[in-house]
Formats: sequence, C-alpha cells, structure tokens
Amino acid sequence: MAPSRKAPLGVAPGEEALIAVLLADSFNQRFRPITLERPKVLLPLAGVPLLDYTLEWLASNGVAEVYVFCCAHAEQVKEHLKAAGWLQERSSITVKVIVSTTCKSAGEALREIDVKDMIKSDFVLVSGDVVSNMDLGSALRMHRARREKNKNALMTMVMKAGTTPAQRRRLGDQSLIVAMDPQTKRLLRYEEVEAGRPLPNQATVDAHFWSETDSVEVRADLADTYIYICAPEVLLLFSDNFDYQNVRKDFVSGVLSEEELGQQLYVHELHRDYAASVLNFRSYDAISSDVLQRWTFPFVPDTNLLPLGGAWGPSSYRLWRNFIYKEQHLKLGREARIGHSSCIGMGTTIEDGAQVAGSIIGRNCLIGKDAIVLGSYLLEGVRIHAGAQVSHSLLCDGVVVKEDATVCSGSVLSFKVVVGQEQVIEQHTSLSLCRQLQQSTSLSDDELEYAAAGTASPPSEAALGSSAEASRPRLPGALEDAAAAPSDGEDGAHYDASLVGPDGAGYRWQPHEAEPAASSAVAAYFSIAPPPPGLPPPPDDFSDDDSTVTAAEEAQDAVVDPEASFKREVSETFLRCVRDGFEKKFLETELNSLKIAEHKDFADCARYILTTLLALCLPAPPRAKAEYRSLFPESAPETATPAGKTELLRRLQRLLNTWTDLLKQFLRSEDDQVDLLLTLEEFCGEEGVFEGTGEQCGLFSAVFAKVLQLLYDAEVVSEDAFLKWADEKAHAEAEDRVFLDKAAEFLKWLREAETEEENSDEEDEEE
Amino acid sequence: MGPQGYQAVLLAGGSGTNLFPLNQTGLPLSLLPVANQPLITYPLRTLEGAGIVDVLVVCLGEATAAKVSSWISSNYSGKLHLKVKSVPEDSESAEALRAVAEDITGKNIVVMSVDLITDVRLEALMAVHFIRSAMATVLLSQRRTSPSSETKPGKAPKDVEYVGLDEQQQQLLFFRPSSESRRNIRLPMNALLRHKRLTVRTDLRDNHLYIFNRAVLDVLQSKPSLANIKQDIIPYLVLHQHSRKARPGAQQALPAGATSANGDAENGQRGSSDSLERVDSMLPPTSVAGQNFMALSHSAAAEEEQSRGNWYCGAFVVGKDSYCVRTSTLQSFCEVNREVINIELAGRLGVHAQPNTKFDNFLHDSVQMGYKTTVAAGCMVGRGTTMADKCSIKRSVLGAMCKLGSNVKIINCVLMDGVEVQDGCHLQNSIICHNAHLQERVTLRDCQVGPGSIVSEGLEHREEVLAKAPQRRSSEYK
Repeated sequence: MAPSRKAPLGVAPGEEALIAVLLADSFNQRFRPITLERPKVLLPLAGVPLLDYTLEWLASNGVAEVYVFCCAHAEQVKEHLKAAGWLQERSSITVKVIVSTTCKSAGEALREIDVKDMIKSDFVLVSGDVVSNMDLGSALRMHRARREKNKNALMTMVMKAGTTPAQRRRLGDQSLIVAMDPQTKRLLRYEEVEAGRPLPNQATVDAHFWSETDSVEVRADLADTYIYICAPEVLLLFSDNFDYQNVRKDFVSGVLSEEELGQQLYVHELHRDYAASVLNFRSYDAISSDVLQRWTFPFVPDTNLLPLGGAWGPSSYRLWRNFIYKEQHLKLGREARIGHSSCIGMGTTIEDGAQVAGSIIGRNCLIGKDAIVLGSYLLEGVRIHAGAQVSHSLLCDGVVVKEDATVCSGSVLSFKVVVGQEQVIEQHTSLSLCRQLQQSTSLSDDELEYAAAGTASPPSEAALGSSAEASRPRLPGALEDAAAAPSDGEDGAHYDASLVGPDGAGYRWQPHEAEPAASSAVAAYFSIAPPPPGLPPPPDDFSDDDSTVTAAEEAQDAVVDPEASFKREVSETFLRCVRDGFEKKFLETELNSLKIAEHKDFADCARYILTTLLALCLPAPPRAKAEYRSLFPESAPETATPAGKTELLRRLQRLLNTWTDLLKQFLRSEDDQVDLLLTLEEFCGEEGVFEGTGEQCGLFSAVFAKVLQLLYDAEVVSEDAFLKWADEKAHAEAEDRVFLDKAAEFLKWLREAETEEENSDEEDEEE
Repeated sequence: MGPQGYQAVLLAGGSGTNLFPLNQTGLPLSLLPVANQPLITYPLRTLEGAGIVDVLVVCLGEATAAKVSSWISSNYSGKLHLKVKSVPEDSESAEALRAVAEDITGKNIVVMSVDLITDVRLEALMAVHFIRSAMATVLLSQRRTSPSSETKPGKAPKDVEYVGLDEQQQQLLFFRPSSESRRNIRLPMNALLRHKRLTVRTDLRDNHLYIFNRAVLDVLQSKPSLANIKQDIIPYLVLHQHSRKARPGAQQALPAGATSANGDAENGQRGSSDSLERVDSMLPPTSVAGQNFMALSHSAAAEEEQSRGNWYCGAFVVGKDSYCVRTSTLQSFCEVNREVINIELAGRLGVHAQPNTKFDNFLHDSVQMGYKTTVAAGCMVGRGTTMADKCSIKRSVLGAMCKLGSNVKIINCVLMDGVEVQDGCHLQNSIICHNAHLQERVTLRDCQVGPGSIVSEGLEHREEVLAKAPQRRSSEYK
C-alpha cells in the first residue's frame, strides 16, 4: 500500500532530504475583506509578509524542498516569491510553486499533490501563516524513529504546551482537549471546541483506551500549531477519503475514529519554542506583539533576517529601549512620542505631538500632528491626518484617515479606504472599497472567485452593486483616484457616506459567518482588538443534585442493553426523518439499513416505530435529545377523565393516519403483528426496555383497548392476529393477563364480528 | 489525642461472610489468624507506629463487637486507647462512620479498614495530609499486575479504579471505582482547565486507608445518601473540590490552611494584574491591555487557576516496593499469610514471632520434628506443633498444636490451630481451619476445609469447600 520510499541518491535513509508542503491559502474567510485584494500569506507582520516567516523558518531547519501550494491570488504569491528571491537557485532550499485555482480546501490541495505524485518520503505540512522558531529536528527524529518501528505512525502533530485559557482567548483559537498516552505520546482523542463557545462541563474519554495503556493523559493546555510531520501515506488517505476537507476536522478525527485500521497519530510537545499560526485578526495582533517582544527570536525585526521584496530592498530595523524598533530614514517630530512595543518602517513621518504605542507602522506612512495611534497596524503608505485617533485597528495600504476622524478598536480598513473628516468609525467595523453583494449565497465559501481577479482588478462581482453606473469594475488605478480625490464627482456619492463621510471612500463589509445571530459575538472574539482582561467564566459545575447526575451518567456509561439501544436508534431515526420532513420512502430505506446493520427483523422495526408513535402523543421523555423535543406535545392529557382519553386517542389517530403505511411495510406476517401487540403490552406496562425510561407510557394502559381498536381500524393488525395473541395469552399467569382482561371486551366484539361476518356477509355489504 | 489532633477509626468489619468457610470458626474477620496472630494486630501496629492514641474500633453487629472487646481486654497490651463501637450489621463504610460521628473528637480522622496489611508509614501520610491542609488524603498503591495487560484491546478494563492525578501526582482530581467495564469516562472540565493536564490511571489501587479532615463529617451529615466511602464519599469530595457552588456547611469547617491559601492566591493575582496593566506611563492604563500575550502564561491567569478552590483531595501514591494488601478474599487471605512471613517484611509489618534467621523461617521452640522432616524457608510453624517423619513443609503457615503424621507434604497452605493431618496427606494451596481432621492419604488442592471438619481417608479434592454445615449465620437466625 505504501509507496516505496526512494531516498535521493547518496543520502543515508536517516538523513534524506526533507520536503515541506506549504499551503499558501487558509481556505477560510476570516481575513475578509482584505483577502479580496491580497492573499493572507502576503499580509505583513512587523513589516514582513507572513509567508516569509514560514519559508525562512523552514529554510533554517534544513528543509531542502518546499512546495508552495497557491490557490487564491496565485499570481501575487508567485510575484512575491520571485521578488523576495525565494525562486532563485539557492544552495540550501528549493521553492517550487504549485498553482491550482480550483481547490477549496486543504483536503483538495493535498489530493492534488497526491495526484502529482511528487512526494515519496516524510514531509512537513504547514500553512503559510505559521510563525515559529521551533527546531524541527527533534520532532522529526522522533517521527522517523516511530516510523522505523511502526509503519502506521502516520503523523506527528506539533502542539504547544502550557497554553492558558487566557492565551487561547488572546489568540482567538479554539479550545482543545487532547487525550494521549503519556509514555508513547500517541494521540487518542482530539476534541476541538469552537472559539468563543462555552466548553462542555465534562470531557468524555472512551474507557477502552485503558485496555492499551494504564494511564491516559488528558490535556487542556495544548494548542495546535498547525505544523504536522506527515508520512507519505497521509496523502493517500486524503485521496482514499475524498470527503476529507480539513486536516483536523476530517483527517484527524477520521483516523482516530477508525482505530481498528491501526493508523496512529502522535503528539510532539513544544515547551520553549515558539509556534503559532495567524488564524484571524486577533491572533495577528497577538503574534505581532510576540514578535516585537522577541518570543520568536531570531525572527524579530532587528535581525533583519527576513528578505523583503519590493522597491525598498532589505530592512534596516534597530532595537531601542522598550521594544521599539525603528528603521532608517524616519522623520520624527520633536514632540512625537513613541511608546512601548512599536515598530516603525522606513520613510515614515510622525509629526509633532503625535502619539504612537503598541503599534506597527509600515513604510512611508504619515502620522499627523497630535494624532494618536494605539495598538494598531498600519501597512504601507497609510496617512493619519492631524488630530485623528486610531486604536486597535488594522489599516491596509493607502488608507487615509482624515483630520480629527476616529477609528475605534476592532476595525479593519481594507486597501485605500478613506475616512472623512471628523467621522467616527465604530467598533468592529470592516470597510472596503469592494462592495459586498447582498445575496451572499452567490459568494461561496472560497476566495477562488477572486483568484483570477487578484492583481488585475478588484473582484468585479463584489463591486457589482445594485446601482447601475458604479457597477463597472473598478481598476486599481480608478481606486487610487477615488482615494486621492474622494470628493471628486459621482464615484464618491456611492460610498457609504454615512459611515465614511462625504469626503470618504469605502463600503461596510459585514462578516458573514454561518450563523448571523452569533456573528457579532464571533466578530468580537476574532477582532483585532484584544479581549478584555480577566478570564471567561469557567464551565458550569455539575448539577447540584449529585445523585441524579451520577445515576443518569451511570445509565449512559454502562454498556447498554442492545435491545434498548436498538429501540433508541429506531426512534431517533424516525424522529429525525419527521423533523426534517423526509419522504416515507427515505425513512423506510433508513430503517431497513438499520435493521440489517443490527441483525434485526421487520417486526423489531415495526414494534419500535409503533412505540415511538405512542411516545409522540406524550410529552418528551427526559432522555430525548434536545433537537427532537419540539416534536413532542408539551403536556400529557389527563387520562383519568374521558376528555383526556379522547385527546390522547385523537393524537394517536392523527399520527396513525400518516404512518400506517410505514408500519404495514414492516409487518410482514401475522406473527409480526402478534409481536407488535406483545410490545404494545410491554410499553403500556412499562416493562422490559420501557422500564424506567421516564416516558409516561403507563398513560396508555388506560386506553389500551381503544389503541387496539385504532390499530384494527387502520388495518395495521388483522383480527386473526388479535385472536392469536389472545390465545397465546389465555394460559398465562394472572399478572401477565392484565392487558388481556382490559382488551376482553374488544376481543369479544371482534369474535362476534367475525361470526357475524361469516353468517351474514350481505348485511355487512349493505352497511 | 495524637499528633496534630489525629484520631483513628478502624473499620473492623463483621463476621467475615465473604471468607466462608473461615467464618465458621466463630472468629470475626478481625480476629482471624494471619501468620498465627489476629488480623487486627496489623492495623493496630500501623496506627500505634504513627503515634495515634485514640482509636474507635467499629464493628458490624453486637456479637462481633463483644468478641472484639473481649479479645482486646484479655490480649491487647499496646499503647492505644481502644474503644469498641458497634453499628448495624448491614452498614456500609460511610454509614458506619456516620453512626460513630459523635464519638469523633479529633481534627483529622484516619479511617482504616481492618483487613489492610501494609508497611506504608502512616505518619508520612498524616504529615502530607497536614501540610497540604487536605480535606482528604487517600493511600493509593501500584497494582502488581497492570490492568491493561489483562484486558483485551478495545474492551474497557474491569474492576479498576480510574484515578485522575495532577501533574505532580499529588492531587486527586478524579476518582471513579468501576467494577464493570464502562464505555466512557467523564472528567470534570473545571478540574481539567484548572490543572491543564490530568493523568487518569488504572494501575493504582485504593487501599481503604483514608485521612479525612473533620469537615468530612459535616458532608456526611448533609448528604445522607452517601453510603460507601470508596464508592460515594471519595468521588464526591474529589468532584466538588473546585465546584463553584460552595457548600456552606463544609466551607465553614474548612481547614484553616485552605482559607489562607486562598487569600494568598488572591493577593498574588492582584499583584500580577497590576503588572499586566503596566504600560507606558504616557498612556491611559488600559489602552494597550493584552499586549503581553506570551507573558500571560506567567501571570495572573496562571495563578488564578492554581488557587485552591473549595478544598483539596490529596493522593499518597506508593510504588510496588511498598507492601499494601487487603485480605478481602479467600485467595488473598492465603497469599497474605504466606507473604507476611517473608523474613524481610515480617518485621516491618509487625509479625510478633521471632524469625529463625538461620533458616529464614519462623519455628516455635516447642515444635517437634521427626526424622527427615524439613521445613523450608519462608514457613511458620506455631507453638506445640508436632511433625512425624519425612514431612515436607514449603511456603506454608501452620498454627499451634497441629499434629502431622509422617510423609505429609504441605505446599502453599494455611493450617490454623489444632489441625490434625494423618500419614501420607498431600496438601496444596489450601486453607485448613481450626481443629479440622484429615485422615490418611487425603489429597487436597485449592480447597478450604471448615473448622472441625473431617475429611475421610484416601479422598482427593480439588477446588472445593469442605465444611460441615452451610452458612452458620443463617442457622443462627432460625
């Protein structure tokens, strides 16, 4: 199965040339609207594009070959690589670019690479947004040592240990609960809780892990660095499982859940080294300040290690007191004040009375008199005019903030946006010159639509507004005009003037996350502004009533009765189909496959369909899943009164009207029907699998005979089956005959009807 | 009252029904002979060695209590003040503790089961308990065989305790005994977040030796549903260490050290949050908050997480080199008998008999041995026992006044006092109770012979219980 590993000539197996696959696309939309115009990997962090951090780190670890996989804005990435000299023949590292504009996920990218059949040995898989100074050597050695012994050791995931919840919040990273074997570091469980969501109050670990090891370590302090050392088989697995999209969500969870295949993942813990990935604006902010505070050494501005593309050539940062980094050729006003953790690029002018702190100012920026810039990121050529205030925001190339305007924290101003005089941009606002389409459905989840647009023009589709004239795709040149002379003519009139002012330029960009309701909270969570100090509340305690919790838990954890679990499966399948309004045919197929999978017969399905129907007439049982609760009525009818009885029966009648056909499908013989009746008895008597479920099944015992009548009328159960059931029961012990006695009248009626029927067919027909 | 206000509760058990037919001797569990001395002498030695003075001996049932009292008054000569209490016969451990709560005056309580024989130094446990100002400290010992090696892959292990410990293996963060194989283990998230890592081990065994803070008695009173110490109390205490719903009753009675530790943590937090907010003086203090991302791991957040919570449950983990065994089953009874007379262990465990260092065994001076009879190393033979010619005794414990004929072979057996074994018997892995009589050429393997039973000549038995009447207890009640 495994492709033969061909080591390059002259290299010993242990020292084969190391290959890295770098995904230069994050396959998500967290960085919109910036990524409409520039790929995330080219976003500068402390003056240097993210991609260069990753490449330089790979090069410093002796990686011989890097495949840079580009999707969106491939041309820009290529150009940058060229300009920064990565594509030149170097002695140490070869960078090869793979362009595919059709990939929508990391999984697809890896499948594409597998098709190209270039990788035959272990490789490092990273995303182009990783900032790290870790030593790959030790992780790699351990990975290879494991591979020597065990071909199934597929992947080593690098994780940073010691991360506190506060740090996670600072990074906007998801919470991660990991279970592993402390001796071998084998990963047993990987559970992500999406960023910003509350943690469950329990971490569940499969007990069977303890059959392989005596101790399992459960960790809440590990953060995934998104650096993976993979065996070549990983690519094969991605090809085999063509539905794998995300490395963690699909691949890792897939491998862990298919334990029986024997494939294993391992964890490499980082303790002192730095590794983090720019996942969203918040981590961009957090990692920027880490770079300034030198946690990423040697990748800090003043080592001037990182190649800088573009017109200005290499950087010339020097470190001053208080983590202030300055390049040459700055014009600093005498009264300009520069605070802790700041970085200022070449050609920037900071005028008198301006204050800058905790900010990274790119090259050729202007900060006017008495302007204040706090905790913000100004890329190239940003102009902050006199008296303006910017805090905790990201301002892209060419943004202009006019006199006395205010940009509040959490804002993201994309390329060449202009904020007019005295305008106030509220918290967590994103602005772009590209107009967002109202129907976001046409904008699918990928950035590919803009891939081609990339450098040539801003996305035409996004710019297409409903208004007619302005719908022409704007070329960069046109944009520049708009920015330079915003007050000029019609163009300006179409911008969100209420937002950016009459002399401004830009449209509001709404983050469209999956759920709009949660989006504001999510936006705040990922925002470039840091989270408020203090810890999030810890997860809820166990409920105070310990005994009930443990009892319920016990019930769930104990190895359950297969019959009860089958009952639950049938009932949940049924409820799901009811809730989602699937067709009966579909439901039938589902139940059939369930039947085959569990080695049950038709009658088994029918029995539990019936009991589910009965349960649907009553309030939801305590163990019902929350998602199905809405299907159940709110209260139980009072069966002591005749009215309540009728109500209960009416509910059942209604359900039977819909589902009789289905029931009949599963009742293939008279014996099946007798089985059904026996189950009905158990249900009403709360025996067997219905015992102690908390369903108020007992209520039906009051109307047992009537239920039989309904089943008879609906032709679910034939009279022969009824009589057979009665005969079977006739000799049972007294306590088992309770329901038979209840049905006595009905049966009598049935017997009479039968004889009548035989005697006088004609009469019946007349009726 | 002992050091630091320690008092002990010795759960002396009842008539020992799960050791049938040994319970037919009329001796309660605590007086059954182990290496020819009553079982209770071992835990009493452990308690005495730790400097404890007051001990409540809690017996199940009046009858047991009476027997134990009379043994104490006539035989016990140690320094402990023993007070015998009886509780209803079907009480579980926590119920028994609850029943005698009024008699407990100590600030800390050592609760020990009578069937634990250990050379772990209880004073070390007490010191650790005191230093940590723990609510509870549990003695855990490494199992001799790893449960995972005995479990099929893919199946959860049975009869284990899932024990969750912190990084230093000191604090007990999770405790769930499980006799059945389970599907899932649910760990409390708040403990996990607080401690960041939690190792859940199955290779540790709970030994029914606990030290409790007095506050546990209040928990016992306020939660009458908790019946068993191991099954209910310990899991409860462990689970609610960090629960935010502080229980007022328990909170008030918290050990003094715990509250002060809380205070310290708060102070520490205040101090470091100041440093977090310390930014360039020209800026308003909160303007660049969150600037020190990496530094967060060394500051307020980290300390806050380490604050103590409601109380502290500690674990005292001993390795395989410590002796920690409970005589709760017939098999372990037999094993323990042989193990405690290991010449190196015996002294530490408190075996009274003097070893015969030349042969590494315990032979009473009055023992008479015939021609060519050998007693191998690691054996014990009691006072006044006689052995005729050509007997061979290996790894066995023989009581007082036994009488062995010639050509008797005994391997891995326990013979209590007054057993008579006639010529040519061959015994292996068996327990023979008081005054049993084995006639000529009886062969026994893995058998238990009840007190006073007679096994007729020439018979061969394997894995059988040979006793006169069935349960003696049931006949008592008729």
